[in-house]
This record gives sequence, C-alpha cells and structure tokens, in this order.
Amino acid sequence: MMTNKLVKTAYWKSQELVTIGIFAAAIKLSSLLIALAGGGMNPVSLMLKNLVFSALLIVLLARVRKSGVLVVFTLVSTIVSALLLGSSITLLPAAIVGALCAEVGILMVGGAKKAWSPFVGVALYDLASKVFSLGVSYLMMRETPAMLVSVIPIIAIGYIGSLMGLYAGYRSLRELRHAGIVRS
Amino acid sequence: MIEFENVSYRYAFQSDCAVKDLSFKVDAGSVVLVTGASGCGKTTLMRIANGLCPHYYAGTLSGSVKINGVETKDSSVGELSQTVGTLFQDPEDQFFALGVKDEMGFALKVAGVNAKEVDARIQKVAQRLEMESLLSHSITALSEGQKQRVALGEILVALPKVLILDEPSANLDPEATERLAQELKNLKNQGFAILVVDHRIHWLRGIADQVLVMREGKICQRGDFELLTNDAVRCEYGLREADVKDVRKTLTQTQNEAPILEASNVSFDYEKNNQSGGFSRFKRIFKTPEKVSHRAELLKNISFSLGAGITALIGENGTGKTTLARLMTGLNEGSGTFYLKGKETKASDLLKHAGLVLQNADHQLQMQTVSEEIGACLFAVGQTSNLQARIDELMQTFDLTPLAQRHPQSLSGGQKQRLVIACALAKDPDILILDEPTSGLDGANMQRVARCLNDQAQKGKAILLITHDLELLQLCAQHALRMDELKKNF
Amino acid sequence: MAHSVLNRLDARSKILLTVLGAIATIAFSTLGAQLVLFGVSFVMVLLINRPMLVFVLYLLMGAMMLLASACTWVMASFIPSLGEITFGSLVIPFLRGLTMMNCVMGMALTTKIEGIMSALTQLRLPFMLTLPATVMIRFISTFTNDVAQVWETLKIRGWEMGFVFFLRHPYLSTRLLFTPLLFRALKSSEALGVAAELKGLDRGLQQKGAMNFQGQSNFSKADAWLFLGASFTVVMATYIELHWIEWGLNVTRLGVM
Repeated sequence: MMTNKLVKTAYWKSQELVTIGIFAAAIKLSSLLIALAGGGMNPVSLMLKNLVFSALLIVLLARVRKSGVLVVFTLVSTIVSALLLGSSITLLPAAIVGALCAEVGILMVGGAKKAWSPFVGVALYDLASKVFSLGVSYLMMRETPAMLVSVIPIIAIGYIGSLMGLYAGYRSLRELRHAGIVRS
Repeated sequence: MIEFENVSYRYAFQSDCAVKDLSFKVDAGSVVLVTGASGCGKTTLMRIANGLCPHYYAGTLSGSVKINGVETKDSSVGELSQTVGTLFQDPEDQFFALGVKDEMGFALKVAGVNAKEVDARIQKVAQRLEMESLLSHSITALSEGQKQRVALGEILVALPKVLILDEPSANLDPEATERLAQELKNLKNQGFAILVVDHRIHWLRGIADQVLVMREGKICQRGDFELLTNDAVRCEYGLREADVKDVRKTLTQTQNEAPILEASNVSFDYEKNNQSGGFSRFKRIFKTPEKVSHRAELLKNISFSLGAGITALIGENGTGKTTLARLMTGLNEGSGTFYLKGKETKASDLLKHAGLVLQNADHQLQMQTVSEEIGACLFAVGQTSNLQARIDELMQTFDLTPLAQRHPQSLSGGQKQRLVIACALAKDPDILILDEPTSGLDGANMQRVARCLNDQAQKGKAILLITHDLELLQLCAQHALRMDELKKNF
Repeated sequence: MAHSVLNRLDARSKILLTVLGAIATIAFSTLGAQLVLFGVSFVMVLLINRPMLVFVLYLLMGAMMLLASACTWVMASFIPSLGEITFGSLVIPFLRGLTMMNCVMGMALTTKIEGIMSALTQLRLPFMLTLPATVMIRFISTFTNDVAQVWETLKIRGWEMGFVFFLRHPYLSTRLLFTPLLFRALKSSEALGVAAELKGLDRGLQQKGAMNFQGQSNFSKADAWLFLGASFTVVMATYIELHWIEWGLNVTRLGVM
C-alpha cells in the first residue's frame, strides 16, 4: 500500500526527462556521424540521417508516452546543439512549431498512449519542421529565390528518409519487443 | 538499520514470487553480505531494501520492510533516498554531470541545499575518501576505481545512515578492491548499516559480519563468513571462491619454442597517434577528454613471444596493456616488427588473424538473433560456404543452441559473454585477446568461460587474458606477460 | 582551447547575441547593413584566438556557397522565370550565412564541454529542461566512446567499414553501427532513470524548477561591453538600412521591403 500524501506532483517524472535527454544525445550523435561518414549533401547520407532520426524518435515516443515529449526534446536538443556544436539557432522556431503541430496531431488521433501516436507524431513533426524551415530559408535567401529552389530537393530527399524512418521505427519497436525491452 | 520480516515480492506480469519469505536484519555498524548464483533474487532483495520495489518496479510486496524503523511501503523512493544510499555495479550508470564536483553536488542542489553547504560537504567527503585531486576532473576521464569513489562520495554527501552496494567489486582491480574494503571497514566503524550484494566474496573476509546465501528467491544458508569457506556450500550454490590466491606474481613468464606471435622492438607513442585517425578527430569535435589516469602510454622497444595456451597480460592501470593488445590485433600500428608463425606480418594482416573480445558485450552485438549474430561474423570474413553448419558448430561449442532464435540483448550476462567469444572465434583467429571477460559473472558462469578458453588453448590458439579476476587467472592462466618486464628495455 | 576574452562572457549573453544576430541578419536586406553586421561579427570571431580553425570553417563555408551558387546558376539557366542571378543578389544571403556562422562560432568555440553545466545553469532554464539537457551533454561523450568501440569491434571482425561500404550497404552499415547505440540508449535510460529516482530528483521537479540548481552568477563588465557593442552595431545597421539603401553600389534588391 503506497503513501497517499496530498503533494502536488509535477507533470514530468525525472525518469521521463532522463530518457528524453539520452535519446536526444543518441539522435544528435547519429545524425552527425552519418553526415561525417557520408558527407552532408550526399543523398544517401541525407536519407539515412533522417531515417535514423525518425526511427529513434519513434522509439522515444513509444517509451515516454506523454504529451509534450517532442517540445521538450526539440528545446533541449537545439539549446545543447547551439552551445556545444554551434548549430544554428534560427532553426529553433521552425522546429518548435513543428513539434507543436505534431503534439496537436497526436492529440487529435487519440493521445500519446495510442499505439499509432508515435508514428503520427514523428511524421507530422518531420513534415511541419521541414516546411517551416523552408520558410526560414526563404527569409535568409529572399534576395535570390532561385537558391531556395535548389534547397527544396535536399529537403525532399531528407523527407523521403523520414518516411522510411517511420517503417524503420516500426521494425525497431518489433525488435525491441522480441528482445523483451518493450512490452506493449 | 534494515529489517526484513517475512518479505515476499512478485513483479508485475510474473506468476512466481522473485523472493519468498525473507527475514533478516542489518544493524547499524555491521556489514551483511548477500550472495548466490545469477537469478537467485539478490537484486530483487536490494531493490526492496531501497524502495525501488514496489515504488518503481510495479509489483506486489508482502511482509514488512523497515529502514531505521520506518516502513518502506509508507515512503517514496525519494524520501527513502535521504536515509539509504545505493551504489551501482557500474557507477557510470548513475552519473548525471560531466564533472566530478558537479556530479557530487547534483542531487543536493536539486534537493534545495544551498551552494555553500554543498561545497562544504563535498570538500569534507573528498578529504575522507582521499579524492580531492579528482574534483576538477571529468567523469569520463576516470578509471573504474576512481569512478566508484566518486559514486560513493556522492552518496556520502547526502549523509545517509544505510548503504546498499550492488556488486561493487565487479569492475575493480585487486588494489582498488582492497581500497574499497578499507573504506567499508571505516564506514562500518562509523555506524553505517551496510548491505553488500556480490558474486565476488573473498574481499569481504574480515568485514562481513553476516552472510546470506540465496537460491530461487529464498535465503538457504546464513552464518558468518566461515560458512563460505565450506567447499560443499560453495559448490551447491554456485558461488565463487572465499579465498583467492593472487597468481599474478607466481605465473611463469611466457617461453615458447614455437611461438604463434613474436614482437621485435615494437614502439608506440599513444599521444602522437591519438592526434590522428578518424575517431580521434570525431572525439575532438565533441571535445571528449582523455583518461586522467593515463600517463603518456609510451611503449618502446618491446619484444616478446606468445605461444599456444593462455597467457595473462599483467600490469597496473596505465602501463599500456590495452595499447599492447591493440597493437597485437592490428588496431593500432606502431614501429617495429610482428612475426606471425615465423613470418613477418603487417598490422593490417594481423587484423585478419586476431580476435578481440571487449569488456562490454553490448558493443559487440548487432543482429536480431544469436544465430544471425554468429552468421554475420562469418559473413564478414567471407566464410559463406557451409555457413549454417559452421554456425551450428559454434553454437554447440558454446552451449548456445537452445538460444539460437533469442535476441542477443535478451540474454543473461553469462550467455552474452559466451556469444561474443563465439563471434570472435568465428573467423578462427590464431590469437584471441579477451578484456575482462568475467566481470559481473557468478561462479558457475566464470568457470564456464574458463573451460571454453582452456578448450581453445588446447586447440592451439594463443589466448591473451587482460583481467582483474584473480579466480579466472587461478583457473586457467598458464603464463604471464608482465608490462614492467617488457618495459625494462627503455 | 585557447584563452579568449569571450570565455569571460555569461552563457546568457552568448545565446542572446546569437539570437540577436539571427534576427538582425534576417531583418536587414541591404548590402550596407549586412556588411556592418558581418564586419562586427568577424571582429568577434578574431577574438576567439583560433585563427586556423576559423580559416578552415570559412573555407568550408566558401565551398558550400560556391556549390549552392553553381546549382542555382544551372537551374536559373533552365528556368528563366526564377529570375536573374547576379553577384549582388547572391552576396546578401551569403553575408547572412557568414554572420550567423560568426555568431555561433563565438558561442560554441568558447564553451568548453567541462564548463557546459555552468553555462546551462547560467541560462536559468526550468529544471524540466536543465535535467534532460545535462543528461544529453553527459551522454554525448559516453556515446562517442561507445561508437568508437563498436567501430573497432566491426573492424576486428572483418567488416570493411568505410565510405564505399556505407554507400553500397547503407542499411547494413547503419544497423551494424547504430543497433548497439539504440540498446545502449535504452539500457542507460533505464539505469539513469533508477538513479534519478534514488537521488530524489522528482523533488526538484515538484519544487518548480529546483531554484538552487540555477546559477547565481550575474553579468560582468565583459557582458556589459558586449551588449553595448551589439546595440551600437544594430543601431548603425538600422541607420544604414534606412538611409543608405544602395550605399553607392548597384545592387538589385528582390526583398520584401
């Protein structure tokens, strides 16, 4: 019989935040490794980078089944990347908007505890953040819209990788069930 | 004080109780050792004591568990942590921060203790554990013994009354284990109630006041340490030795008439070579610090020979054992010459004839089933003919056949160890190097690994063991390569 | 890491500077204003005191810009409706990119990984962000070492891991390299989650941010000078943006204004 004290409990448990932090590290490292190994503009590495990103994000959402995971993940990942690796902070607004769109999408399909919510969430997150990052790119290159057109194929290839990552995420969850690490 | 009275616990989704009807006490100023084979329920007992069961790991607890008179059922894990400190087998598993000082003060700051008080406590504990010099270092640059001291220090700054240690000696060398034993003695004299869960038992002679031997969730034997000196008891319960001889000084230097590997005037400058190479550059992007205990690992004019049989590579931390192992496998390239079965061989060719089993089995498992894992290793070296027959043969040799379709990550520690050794032998190397193959293994599994190694040695392989496990050395090491002897020439 | 005056800056100042730099460089669209922003940010980069690294990064940036320009030129040749590509129309986006790079270099190259915890506490973020950020930083180092070990295991086992293998077997090489990382992440999150529970970190979350975990340091003189310099730069750039539109150069502006 557990204690029934009247204490206001926080929304987040430390274990959940720890999981988000660890996966943020794994995702960041994987993306960087693939980019270094294959070259940043190589279509194969572009797709793989996004594939691994999406697959790992799906596993994270399957482990921490709560609204807000994507927002916390995005904020943490962007801040640490900016401090440590010099990643551009201009992408943060686009990523946050993408995360919020994904959270709304998850809520609309029944909430974070539904079996398909990680896949819906990641698909929307990838799409929305890429679309909004195009908006940011437009602001950066508005004097030469043609340059934006040359960026679109890169983003499209990346999104193909993201879509493949949804399937890779599904296979990963199946394997984790086989390994006894994920139960449901 | 820890008190268990008729305690049973069943995990969620399990039909059987993990522990049954446990009753014992750990008084203030005493040390109780709980030991037993893998799966006996030691870990569950530990989790019940610190409140993880049932508060974190959902399940059903019956009976009474009291810490300093307070029922654990009535307190959260966070509240219990103010009285009970738990030290993990791998202390790195419990580190949040990068710096030692940041880590030691982390939990206190979160709990609301002011910065001045935190600093004062850290300084006091650092002095007590003789680790003031480590405070400015990065966690990742510490040796295993140093990490454990930091973890213990972090627990002590919280001023607990009860300590629970989960296999604290698993990753330690004999010297660090001795140091830990001394620290436990001191803490016991200061009135701490200490519960130690461990496979390795010899180091607790003269320290443990009571011993509990578990099997299948029950306490089957209890008594003082002398209980463990009984061969029949140890054999029946699959325990390790109560008295371990340190053979590191008595093993004969390796002498071979028909050496498999010979090294002639091999030199290697760790500092210089660490600046180049893909991963060194990658590590520098993330500003990963180098080990603080590592002195400039300079190997100069090393010459030795290695023949069939099991040779222990002996030396203190930082003397270059790992570097030498990497040179012998071809992972690093120094100056000098290696001869494989009498023929001069380059580093890149050495790679094809050497196998290396790292300490962390998880880094060496990539596939979905045990069978696939071994198959992948055979595929990697181009041995695709009679693939299934070769896989079956290796699985049978290492008693893995019943586990063929299991996911490698679902295996126990002992099973994983056998699998990674099987994978290393897939390419039929002439030289097999193993780095801490039995850390964390119980007596039965350690003996199994020793038998596997002896079998391979009899087949004519040169096996090099890098290990702190004195029992393993006692069981199977035939010769020694001593770093201080090898480095005499410079 | 070479010693630089920028090391004395509060992490909040560096982040604010980066954000300000991003906003300013996106907002302004005249050559004059962009040159002012680039010039001042370049001076800041020189203060980092790592000329070789800065040179290499500029080289890489230059190569990327050249490639982007070449692709754009080729596309514009086939699709005239995209508009004429001139030096003037390219230089402003490039200056934006360089200014942004200078601002983030100023932050990333003067923040040591060992000092990153204090940088995080200086930001005064809520504990629900500080905790995962701390863990992320902690595990980037750990995972880097893990991946290096995995790489070496694969090399020993005979896998010819490299660029060509990666291109020929992308799925297999990803699996070989990242499966251990995934399982390591899962096991570490389990173990560290237990540690968080045992250390009572949930109390920090209940206390609305664990106020004692936040930094106590205040801004210094160096920060004051930085804000002054940044404000002056923005004011100057704004003046040039509004009054010196062409700045004596025949630049085609296809912007929003």
